[in-house]
Amino acid sequence: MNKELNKQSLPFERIERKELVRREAETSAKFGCRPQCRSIGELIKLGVVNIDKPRGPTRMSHVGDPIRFQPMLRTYSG
Amino acid sequence: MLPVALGNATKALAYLLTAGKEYVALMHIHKPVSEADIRSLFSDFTGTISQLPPVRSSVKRVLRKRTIYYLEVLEAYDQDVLFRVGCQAGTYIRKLCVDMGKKLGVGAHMAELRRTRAGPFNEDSLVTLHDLKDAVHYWMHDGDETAIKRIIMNVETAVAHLPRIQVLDSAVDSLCHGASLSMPGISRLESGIKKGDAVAVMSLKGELVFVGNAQLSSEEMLADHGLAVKTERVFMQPGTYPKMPKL
Repeated sequence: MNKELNKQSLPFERIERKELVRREAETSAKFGCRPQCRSIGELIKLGVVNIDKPRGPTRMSHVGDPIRFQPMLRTYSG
Repeated sequence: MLPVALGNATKALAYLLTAGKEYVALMHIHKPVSEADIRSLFSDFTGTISQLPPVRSSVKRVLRKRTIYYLEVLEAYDQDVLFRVGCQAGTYIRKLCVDMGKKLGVGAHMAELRRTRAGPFNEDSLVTLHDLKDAVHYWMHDGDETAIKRIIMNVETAVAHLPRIQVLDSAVDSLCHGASLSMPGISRLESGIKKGDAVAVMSLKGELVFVGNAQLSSEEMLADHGLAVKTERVFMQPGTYPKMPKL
């Protein structure tokens, strides 16, 4: 990659990783589902929202409240 | 930006806390200095720096070392400098501005700050609180899931910065119950894992099963048997995959 991109990277992006195969295997369609296929109910129990935090409240105070008080959403922000 | 996790995904944020961050900040310098001085100042503050957390901070005030991965001027006008900084978790940008002002000999302070990256998250996936509220409304009142589905990302996104290991279907259920991962359960794994690294253990469909602590390097995990990853936080519910006799 070019130099500019290297300069702008965080440490985890500087490690080049290859996929190693220990044992080829198939996965059965009968169990689980690809993350892209989750239902809205599943996403609410296991999802992340990247909030554009408004100016003012810090993450330590009440920035999560508007989300926390949405019915059915249980959250923690960090 | 502030990644907010829902339900069981909150456990993934622990691994974001220690990941690198990027900010765009506005520094106000108290007296005019040349742009060349600012540029050389910025290169002095790239790499390892010592920082005393500010008086108003949520951590103990002892000198600590932090790494600045990159620091670049975006715009300099008069006594204001807009800059981008990539840094280790726990770096105070407010303090960085004050310390750079001291080094210049004229003083400076931070006027504005915006986080632009936290580990795998960047500004591309940002949603405003209004967007979120609207999306919840469309879904709950109109039964339209389109917007909410676009807004809520998979928990896998939050651990995308960790090296991954994929396990056999037959190994999944015992891992959901908290068992550690042994080598026979591994199908694929990424190179470059070192002992002690946090790793994301996933199914072959790419679902996050648990995040754990690597007990060996990637190469060592190719061996026949032995303990590969110790469980730290489990994400998948037991019973998602069938119970299998012990491997």
